Amino acid sequence: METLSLIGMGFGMVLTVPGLTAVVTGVLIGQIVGALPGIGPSTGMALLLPVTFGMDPALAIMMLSGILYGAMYGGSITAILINVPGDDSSVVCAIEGNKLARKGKAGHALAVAALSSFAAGVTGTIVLAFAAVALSAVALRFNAPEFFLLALLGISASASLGTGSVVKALLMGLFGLLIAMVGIDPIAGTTRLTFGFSQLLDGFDFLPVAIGVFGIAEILVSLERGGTMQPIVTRFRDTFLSAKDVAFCAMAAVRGFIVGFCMGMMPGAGSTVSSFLAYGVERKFSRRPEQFGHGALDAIATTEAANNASVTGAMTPMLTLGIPGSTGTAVLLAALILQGIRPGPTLMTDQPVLVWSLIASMFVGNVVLLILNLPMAPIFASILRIPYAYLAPGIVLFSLIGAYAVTLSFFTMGVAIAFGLIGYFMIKADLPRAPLVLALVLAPLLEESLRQSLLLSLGSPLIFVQRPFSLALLVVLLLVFLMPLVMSLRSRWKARST
Amino acid sequence: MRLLDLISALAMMALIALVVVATRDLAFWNGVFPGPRFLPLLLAGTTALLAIALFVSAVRGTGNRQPVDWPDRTGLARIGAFYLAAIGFGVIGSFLGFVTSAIVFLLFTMVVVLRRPIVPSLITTAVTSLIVYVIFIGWLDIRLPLGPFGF
Amino acid sequence: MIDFTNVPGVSRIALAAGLALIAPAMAHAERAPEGPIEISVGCSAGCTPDVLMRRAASIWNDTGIIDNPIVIVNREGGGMTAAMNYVLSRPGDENNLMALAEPVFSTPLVQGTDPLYDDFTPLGVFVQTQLIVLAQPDHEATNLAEMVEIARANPQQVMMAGSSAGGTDEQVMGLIEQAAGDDVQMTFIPHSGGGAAQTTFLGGNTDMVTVTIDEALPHIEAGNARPIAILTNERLSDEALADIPTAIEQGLDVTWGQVFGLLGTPELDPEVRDWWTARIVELTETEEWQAFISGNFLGGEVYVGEGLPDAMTGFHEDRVAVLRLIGAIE
Repeated sequence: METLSLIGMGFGMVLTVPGLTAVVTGVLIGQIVGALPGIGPSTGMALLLPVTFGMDPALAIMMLSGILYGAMYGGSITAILINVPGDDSSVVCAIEGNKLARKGKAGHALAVAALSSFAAGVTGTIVLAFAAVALSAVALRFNAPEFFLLALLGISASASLGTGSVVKALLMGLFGLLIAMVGIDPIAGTTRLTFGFSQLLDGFDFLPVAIGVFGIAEILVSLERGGTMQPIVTRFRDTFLSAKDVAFCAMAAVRGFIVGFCMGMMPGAGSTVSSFLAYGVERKFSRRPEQFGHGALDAIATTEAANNASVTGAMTPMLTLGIPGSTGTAVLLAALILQGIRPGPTLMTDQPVLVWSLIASMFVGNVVLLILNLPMAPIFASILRIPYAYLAPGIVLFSLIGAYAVTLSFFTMGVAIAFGLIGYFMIKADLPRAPLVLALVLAPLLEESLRQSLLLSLGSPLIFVQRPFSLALLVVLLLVFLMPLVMSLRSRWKARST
Repeated sequence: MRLLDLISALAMMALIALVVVATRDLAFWNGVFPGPRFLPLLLAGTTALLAIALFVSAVRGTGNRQPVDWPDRTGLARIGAFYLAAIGFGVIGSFLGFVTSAIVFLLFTMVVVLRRPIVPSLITTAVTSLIVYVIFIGWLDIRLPLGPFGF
Repeated sequence: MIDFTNVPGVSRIALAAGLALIAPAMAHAERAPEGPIEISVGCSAGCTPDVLMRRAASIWNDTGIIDNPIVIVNREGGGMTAAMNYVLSRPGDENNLMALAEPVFSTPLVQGTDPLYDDFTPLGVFVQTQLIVLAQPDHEATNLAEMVEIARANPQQVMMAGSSAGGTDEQVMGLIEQAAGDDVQMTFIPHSGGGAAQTTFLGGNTDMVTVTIDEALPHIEAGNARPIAILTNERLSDEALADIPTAIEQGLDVTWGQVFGLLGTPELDPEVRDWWTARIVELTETEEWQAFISGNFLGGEVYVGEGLPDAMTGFHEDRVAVLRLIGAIE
């Protein structure tokens, strides 16, 4: 009851002219920076930080967080339409969504992305409002050993991400892991495989690699035939989802939400990891797993739900402990500090107006985003009516500028161009590209958490069975690995007995 | 496909060799903890097994036997030119700024590489480079390289 | 030994010292740079130097101390080398500055390359963070001295969570071990960031964590952590902090903190440098800045003018010593 009255107070703050202006401004900017490749929500938030100095703290936070979750909606648009991930967490959306767009189902994909983003955003906000404190206590029980097993679970999904040979899928996953070894060693602090280049100290940024192997490589393949590909026409009525589609995607979105929200609460995991993990999980549960990699609607539902849920998930440690769970929430915390508010475990009791206005604003912001995105889907989709030969150079241009913008240096642009060629070769050699990117995303988490675990246990691998959550995850992991084996043995045995 | 599989397997072996050699000065084990070389070597070993598996299946011809869908010579020249244009965009951009470079890149790829008519190409170029300028430089104030003309 | 972060609780005292330092420099002619000023920050938006520079920039512009619009640009990557290379490649440029933070000293050291801090034209060091060591609230050790004794009896079993390997937190642990004697060995658990390290600590996985005062206070107030030592020369006067003993009074000679400031491009015109000196002093005298410093429990000691290059060398040498101590450099 008390929570409800607090939320009521929050809505009282939001449903005013300045409140609504702040929310709408925030989500609009978020939508745009999310859609632009290479420019993520934190860039948009940093841009707006100076503007917020003179503002009321609650309004400032409402606006800045609008950018954060608005970007999750925006990222999927470019991913689906032009196969260039607008931000890190929409890579999966690019893999599956663009396949759908090429089948003339861009409207469907956009609508599913918007709806599942909305559902996850609103559900996440409700969970945040009612269970933030309890959840953050549980989340604290997750640490290095659990993260390691989660990362391992995610990597194990890479075997199934290919459309052909398992050996090739695994090989590409390992390729991604090996590339991820470049950079400063996270535990020892020494340089590794950098060959003296200071640009390599942080390793290969994953976004330029994804822009290269997906965006640029696919354009090279499509231009082989002279770019005479027919424009893809999306009819307006195609954007309306049938009840069957919605039912098909609903459970996928629920699973994506759970994975996303949980991963969002963990520092160091974030929206990209959660979108990939949800994709891997969904492949195990999907009723049509064979569609994965060829344009699966439920894959979009699950990853878009996951990345939106992870944003609200990351707000949990921020509001209850004052700890940033992601780069986006780090900017939010910085904004609070610049406003003279000290974030910490007492934030929710010390600053109830601020916290509950923020929560109320997330409801309102998600509604605004849905209103913005759902009817706009056919309009966005109409960009595909532009003949491909005029579209392709522009897509590559935006990819290159986006890759530059990631670190404001030519190095990341070079990485994107180089991986464009590698990606082209991979397409020709029938090597799947999703495992490569998945592994690159998960590798830092995998290595850091493995070595942290062994530091915590002073070298004893028993740490993975001594902790309750870790043990449970280990069991899940074993099941995932053993199930296909048991199944194939059983079918073989059955075949023999008949 | 067999040739490409062989090349892929060999490329992975070369990568492994590079990793093994380049990490030779790092510690594999620090006391009771894994060191910086632990995971690279572990991964290199696993990768080697899979690369050998791919190599063997390619040699024995048990893998995918579908023919590779290579482009014809003009197609290859087209994407080669397009790829070089992408590199050229970066090179020119570092001297003349991204907007000028974008105009050159768009016109070159549309008119010369893809052989589109000049007028629609000019219109597309104008619209696209205007979007680049207005959004990235004018509005978002992203520090893209600017040329001698200030854009 | 390491004593550059000798930070009194009230920045006013420090300011007096700072003013004395720059007095001779004021005699030179000053010249303002023309056009917008860009400050490159080597980490992502929201990191400590980013927050400090944004606050400084907003005060400079709002109070009219500086009319040139100031823009903060985040050029992250390579332990700040991306930002450093950007600013260092523009000798004499009066519109580009670099935010000084710890990696400016430590990254070249750890990478084994030539130091870069002395390639810049230093403009001023005017913020320091002050550090607290936190322990689990129910830990049997109630202060740092007891913690050290537990570590002595149980080699490597006492653990400290911290951000990146070789960073400030690991340096602190190295200094504590050194102060306690050769037979004290603790285990440092590095993380990808300060937030992750705090999470590990709050989850009860480690005995200790080192955090800045503003990060520590909410956790102390909420009962999630117990402060066992403050790494300043003297206890702080603030009510919430007055009971926290320094490491020194517990017999462990450890004081440490991070320094932040502004660096100019190489070969910057001395007249422009002196202009910045005056603007930094004016900034630190504003009420807004002092409220920001004391509100976030930062150290506000100001190093500008003729004494600055020596101070920079001092900071550098301290970091060489401590990095050698923890084995990050040979």
